Amino acid sequence: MAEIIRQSTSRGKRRRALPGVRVDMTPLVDLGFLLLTFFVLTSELAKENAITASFPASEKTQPVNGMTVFVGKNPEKIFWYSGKCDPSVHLNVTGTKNNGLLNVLKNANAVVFRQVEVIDRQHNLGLLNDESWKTKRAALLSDDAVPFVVVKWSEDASYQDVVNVLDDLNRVHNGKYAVVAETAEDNALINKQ
Amino acid sequence: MPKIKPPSHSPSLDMTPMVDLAFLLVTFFMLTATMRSPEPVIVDTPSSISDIILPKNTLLITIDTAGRVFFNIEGKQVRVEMLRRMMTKFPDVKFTDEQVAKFGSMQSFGVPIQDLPAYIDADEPTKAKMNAVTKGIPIDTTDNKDQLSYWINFGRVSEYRFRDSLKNAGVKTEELRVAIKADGKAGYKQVDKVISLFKKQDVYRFNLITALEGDPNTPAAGDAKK
Repeated sequence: MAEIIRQSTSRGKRRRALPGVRVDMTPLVDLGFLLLTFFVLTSELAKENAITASFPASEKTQPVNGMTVFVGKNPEKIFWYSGKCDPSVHLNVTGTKNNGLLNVLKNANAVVFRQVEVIDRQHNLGLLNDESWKTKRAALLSDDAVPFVVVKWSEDASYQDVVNVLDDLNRVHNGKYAVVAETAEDNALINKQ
Repeated sequence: MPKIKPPSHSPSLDMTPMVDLAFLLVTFFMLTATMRSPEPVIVDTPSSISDIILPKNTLLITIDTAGRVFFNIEGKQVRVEMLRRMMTKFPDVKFTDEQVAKFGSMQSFGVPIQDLPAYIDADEPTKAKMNAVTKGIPIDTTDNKDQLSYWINFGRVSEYRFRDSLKNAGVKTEELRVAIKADGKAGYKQVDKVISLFKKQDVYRFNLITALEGDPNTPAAGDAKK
């Protein structure tokens, strides 16, 4: 391909085939792969990850099967309690270190979490087809056993801390949550600790 | 037995198929790659383990450490129509046709609409300076100065109409998603203000842009997450 066939113009008896003119393609290849590398690397970098979160419209009162997590200034001092709120409720404390909060949320959602992990594994192994996996998963995620988590943020909570909680909820397959502002009563409750 | 002839030429490789392949791939990546849109501010997004890739058709709200709000929506036609609607809402601010067209191919911005004509005309260094001093798009609802709601509303309406026309033409389209790209160190209070503006317009689902962190099962990843 890369040679030009030259027709011999001499008409004499001593006719011989001229060798084709070869073009050195190496620099072209170099350039091609250089550009290729560039585009592969840059297109890889432009991807952005996101977590999908829903923020319900009405800030409903807490259902019975639920827990409340307070996100404040210090990510290592996250207060939480489960069940109904009353002034004498005991607040537990946890942090983001060593997956503290993650384990708390995991324990609260232990039954469903384990079941979801099982069907996820079955799906990965090809034992479960896409459709039944999806319906089973959706049914599990809306199961009544999933605790409703109210995430309450204070004025000095940073975005990262709230995202951490949402991320942990995603990890334990809990999609039932609401993010609301802390009330004065909540504040009093925390200050009592 | 015939004699084995020594090769008369130096062995040379035909590189042509390799060149073909390389340039084919280059063309492919060039055409498929979408360049990262230039950001008006540097935002250090919080980390999460989510590996969900951000959907393509997004309305992007950027919030930096100081809580300043920037707005972006994709699509030239959408942006032009959105600005035209804003112009009827704010008739005091004058835009030339040229400025409107230029706005169509711009990206994220974070200036009040009163400063927008000057921002459109500014060159890159001036824009960077304006981005550094701006207070962001006003979102304060108390003084009735909230402009972000109008941008969101008109942006969504324009995008919906544009998508509808595409749909009628038989083009497959993606629904508009709302993405929030806030700095991890930004106060959640400011993010909540923006979210409550969306809630007023019945938008409840958001994509919170995060940076992927390491394997969640190792304790080190939990420590790094702060």
